[in-house]
Amino acid sequence: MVSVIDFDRILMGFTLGAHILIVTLSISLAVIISAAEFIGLKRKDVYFESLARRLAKALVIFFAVGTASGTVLAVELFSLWPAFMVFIAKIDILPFYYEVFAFFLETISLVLYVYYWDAFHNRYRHWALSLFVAIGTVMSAVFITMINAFMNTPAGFTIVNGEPTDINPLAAVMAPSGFFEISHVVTTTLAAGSFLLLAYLAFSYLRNHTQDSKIFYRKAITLTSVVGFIALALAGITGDSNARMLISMQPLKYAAIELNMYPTDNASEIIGGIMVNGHLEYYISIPHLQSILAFLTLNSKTVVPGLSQFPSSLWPPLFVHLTFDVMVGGGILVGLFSLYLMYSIIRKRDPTGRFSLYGMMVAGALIEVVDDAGWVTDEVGRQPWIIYNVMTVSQAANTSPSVIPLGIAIIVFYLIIVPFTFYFAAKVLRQERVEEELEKSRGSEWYRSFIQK
Amino acid sequence: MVQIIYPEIGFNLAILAMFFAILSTELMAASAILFKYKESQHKVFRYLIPIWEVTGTFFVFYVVNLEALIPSALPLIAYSFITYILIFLILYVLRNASIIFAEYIWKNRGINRRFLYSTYAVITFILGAMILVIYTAFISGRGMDYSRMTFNFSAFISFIPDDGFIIGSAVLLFGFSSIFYGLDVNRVLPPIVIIAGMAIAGVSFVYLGNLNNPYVLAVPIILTVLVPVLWFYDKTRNVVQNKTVFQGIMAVSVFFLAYSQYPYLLGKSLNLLSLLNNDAMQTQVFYTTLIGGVILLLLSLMYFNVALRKNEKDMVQQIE
Repeated sequence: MVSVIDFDRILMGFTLGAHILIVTLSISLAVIISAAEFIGLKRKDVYFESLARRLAKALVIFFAVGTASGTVLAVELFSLWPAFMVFIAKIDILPFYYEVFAFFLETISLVLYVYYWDAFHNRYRHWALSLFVAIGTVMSAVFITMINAFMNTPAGFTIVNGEPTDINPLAAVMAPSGFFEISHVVTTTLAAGSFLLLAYLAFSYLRNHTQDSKIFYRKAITLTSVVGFIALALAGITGDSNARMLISMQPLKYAAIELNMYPTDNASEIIGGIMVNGHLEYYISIPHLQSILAFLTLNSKTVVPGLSQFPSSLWPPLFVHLTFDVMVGGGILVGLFSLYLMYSIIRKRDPTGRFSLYGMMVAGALIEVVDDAGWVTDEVGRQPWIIYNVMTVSQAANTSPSVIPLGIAIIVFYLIIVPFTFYFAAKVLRQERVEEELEKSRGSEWYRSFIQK
Repeated sequence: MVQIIYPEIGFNLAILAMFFAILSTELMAASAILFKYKESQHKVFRYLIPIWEVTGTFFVFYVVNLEALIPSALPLIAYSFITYILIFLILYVLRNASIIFAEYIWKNRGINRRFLYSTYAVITFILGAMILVIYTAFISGRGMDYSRMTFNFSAFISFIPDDGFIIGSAVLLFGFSSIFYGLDVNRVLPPIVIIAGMAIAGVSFVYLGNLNNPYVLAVPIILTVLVPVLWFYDKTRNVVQNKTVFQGIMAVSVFFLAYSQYPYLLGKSLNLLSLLNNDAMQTQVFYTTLIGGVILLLLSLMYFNVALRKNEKDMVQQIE
């Protein structure tokens, strides 16, 4: 029987997972739209301008549902985890508050960007709005990750007799793991959304046969591949530094994700593996690799943390080791494919060969698994704490049984609305043929201004 | 005597007022969509479609500000209203989905644009009613058990002023909708409906039993009467039909309506000042609100600048 606390966990995890899926696409769309419009204006390229127009429709749809699911999370935070939010409100509410203004920047700029497209004589001013949308979207992610960083490495207070004192809200905002987490979350989110979009573009390229549509999708694929590659490369670098940060800041989480039973030097990297009767089975061990990656030196005498250093009651579920492996392994696979795409683009080869197109579709699906696996590793790896070493999940939860029936209703509702949103956005984009979109751009004041010259 | 307001609470009431002002434009649009759909297509949608996304942002703004202002009240809200909150969330997602789907829906036999907009309108009404129920419950305290953190809906609804305030507000907004959106209605109808709504809501509000600064109620009363009076005469009609002026009037009215309760809640049994956050956080929230408020003001100016320019351009094109 699932307890109310576990149900709170399931409900929060489910709605957060759905929100992440929508938001990854929103963030990457915002960045790619801005890049597309800028290239379109700079090169006077009607295909890129049309691409921005077309993707903006999808962005509005994802934004509408994404803001709703974001609001659901904001309200769930205090309704499912009241004690947690009381604590956060006393010490680290500022990032939530900053996020509101990033949200305003995003909302108002997006409204102007989409609904007043042709109202701008100077098209660079219109493009500047897309930049505001992208900044607002990315900053929202930054501020929310600051809260997560505080949950992992709380700072800015002292606990005396169970109550927080000496509160310094700005120190809490600047939680020690903040920079590492923010850099990784932003880059992985952008990478995940870009590859998901790439999958859609590849699929559309295969379905369309007119010359205009082929050119349109080829340009879209090239741009998205470049953005995806840059984001993924940065995600790899930041992910590496993030893992190393755990050694000093969250050693127990590190030990769990690496499945280190004991602290050791020259530690092996364990790939796969599950615990059977207290013994590790079904794994591959690569000697010394973990220590080399952790300390970037051969024959390091520094010891990596082990689970035995901590009471077993505080261990997180050890499946986080597998989710970590899925994240790293999947990320490397998508990264190699992305490298191949970049090589093709730099060598001016067509990135729309059959292999590449099907590869994009597989990469789009795989990177969502990678993204979710990373998120699960981070969150489950902190268990049983909601705020590391300060408050457990059980202490924070709303234990009212009323949560269960309505929570189930929310889950069912999300199972319908989220896939439908993706279907709807794809259908809306398909409704208008690329040629019609291009005609719209060619009929615009912007296009006529330089064609006449 | 009017009790001077604590600055942080003043900010919170100002955010509440802006949120209600912008929410009310949606509630007015909802009644227009349900009762005058054809007219709404050219009078309501061009205003509603760019603005509805901002309502949600203001809602989050208010929720986060409230969390920062009185964190110890969060468990009370969470436990007392958990059922309402979860239903509210489902409806909120459905509201956003239905309006965005309505905007982009393709030709379809089963689900058409009108059906989706009507769905949006009905959900918006329900959401508005739910917000008013929670707000009114916090004012009157009927149905709420502070120590057990529970809410009894039947106890709430059996208190006539609770019902009167919600029904009166709905009537008031119904009357305002034809003025705000310039709908074709009988000239005397909106003033009658507005005065009736104001009388029902106003009397009920006084009897909710939480009034502490009664003199400030003069502001919403005067402004509410002023709207239909200005609308009634052709020479002044344009003033009140200006969306910015109307929303300003609405925001100022809601601010003073809320101020009249200050600093109490739950039928004067709970003093807000006793729930305030620690000083360090209050200071930071104060500065953040100031800076954020300036950013919001600049964004609003940018919005009105572009939107007004577009309207002027459209009018010139229509004349040509």
